[in-house]
Amino acid sequence: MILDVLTVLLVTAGCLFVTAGTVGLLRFGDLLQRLHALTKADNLGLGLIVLGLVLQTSNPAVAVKLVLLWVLALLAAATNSALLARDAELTGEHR
Amino acid sequence: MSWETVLDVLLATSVLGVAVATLFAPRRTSSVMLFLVLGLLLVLVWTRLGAPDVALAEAAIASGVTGALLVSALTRRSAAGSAETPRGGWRSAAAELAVAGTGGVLLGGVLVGAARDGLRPDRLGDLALDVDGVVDQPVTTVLLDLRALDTLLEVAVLAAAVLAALAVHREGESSIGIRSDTRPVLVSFVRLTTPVVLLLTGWFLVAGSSRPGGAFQAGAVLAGAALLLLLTGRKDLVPTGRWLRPAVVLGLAVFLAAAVLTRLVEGGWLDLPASWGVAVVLVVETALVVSIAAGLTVLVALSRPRYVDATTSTETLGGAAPSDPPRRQTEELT
Amino acid sequence: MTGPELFLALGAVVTLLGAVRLLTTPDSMRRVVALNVTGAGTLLILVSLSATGPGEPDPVLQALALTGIVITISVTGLALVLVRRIEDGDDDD
Repeated sequence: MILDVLTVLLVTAGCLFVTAGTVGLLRFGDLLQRLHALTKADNLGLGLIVLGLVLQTSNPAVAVKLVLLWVLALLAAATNSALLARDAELTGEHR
Repeated sequence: MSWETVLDVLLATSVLGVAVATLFAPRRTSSVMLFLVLGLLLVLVWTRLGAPDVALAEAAIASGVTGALLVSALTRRSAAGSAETPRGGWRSAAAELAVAGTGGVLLGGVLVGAARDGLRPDRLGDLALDVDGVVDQPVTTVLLDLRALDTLLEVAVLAAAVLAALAVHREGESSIGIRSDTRPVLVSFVRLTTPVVLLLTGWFLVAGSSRPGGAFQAGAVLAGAALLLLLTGRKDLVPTGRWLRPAVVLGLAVFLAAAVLTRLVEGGWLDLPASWGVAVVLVVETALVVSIAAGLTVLVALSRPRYVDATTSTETLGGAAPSDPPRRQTEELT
Repeated sequence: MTGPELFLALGAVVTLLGAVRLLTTPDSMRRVVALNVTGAGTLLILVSLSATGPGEPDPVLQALALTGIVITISVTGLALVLVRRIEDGDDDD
């Protein structure tokens, strides 16, 4: 019961962070600002969602797989934003 | 009105909205990006409908590789061309929406009515669930045991499409030319994730026998790793050049060999016996993984716009002038 | 209307939307995207049918959907290479 409440709280908080990241994507004008908002908020949101889901399973293998999902998403987001940001710097700021 | 119904209605509305936006988007790039979003929403729908194999395939193949295909085929060259503005303006778009919407709702009503009356295809699925197949997973049983002929033909279609694409490609080369990008961030990312992707490929392949997974998803994931390796210039690790066409045809060849083998031993084409049928399925699936990965990699690599060497012409992908600091090494990879 | 029936009707609408758009749009790449959307609609119909029956979801229809996905990407890949060839050819002149 306690675990269910915690899961709902964590997943809701995660969804709120992801929504905040999307709002940042839509409202910020500069590419670098958008990248900043998107990667920070989205990854934190995904981490909270994963944490909430880990509480629901008793199988350690499933928990490890969920955390691995988050780590891989972090890696991909970091690489993508680094590449995009460097390109934006070199070819001139995009708006 | 339970929470599940709320979720279903929300999902259905989102899918409809994104589909309309994909089809009627003003620019090509918006259309492609919205199509990627549609793919992700469909993954949720498949999970909701109890089809995890289809969800995995949608995420890996229909969203992942198709997304890579479409995005790599986009170029800014036609940004100002006639490809961007829809002919006829919003009136014709509204007319199309009205026609398609009405027809769709009517057809949907017919289908739902038929489904309620029980006018559905016979439940072949019951046969598949009850049969004592060589593997436990029902979808893999249907794909590789009961209807192996269909899967053989599907693999033949993929191989034919890849060979046709190789033949039509402009340069007509037997190898894939991709400009390599050796920036340290990308190279470290590839070094970190390629082993994980290889592990994931093996896991999908082996897990397909007892839980959602299978050769096609594994092949698509492996194609992602192969593309990353190609992008960072590790052509030595990916079969290109002489080994390309054999790699593409390998899956089809092994499948045909398995068919001939079962014909000779069992007396029926692709009639898998219970004793060594699992081994046949695994061998065929492994060859399929290699073949599908090679085929999908080739398709994505071929749909890129033609690169021109920066020293001979001013044409580059993003329209950047060649006087920019050379942040990418343009090795010729042919 | 149960969940699968809702998705069945949705599949019909999406299929027709994609098909109408496939016939009318002048841009070749948009046509490829419309073809994919039509395919997604028909897959929706197939998988919803697999889920509406009683008991377990029907694996035959799901296997059909999987086959459909692989064939769609083969066609899309070849179509995009052709589109590339056409458009590169136009720019050459």
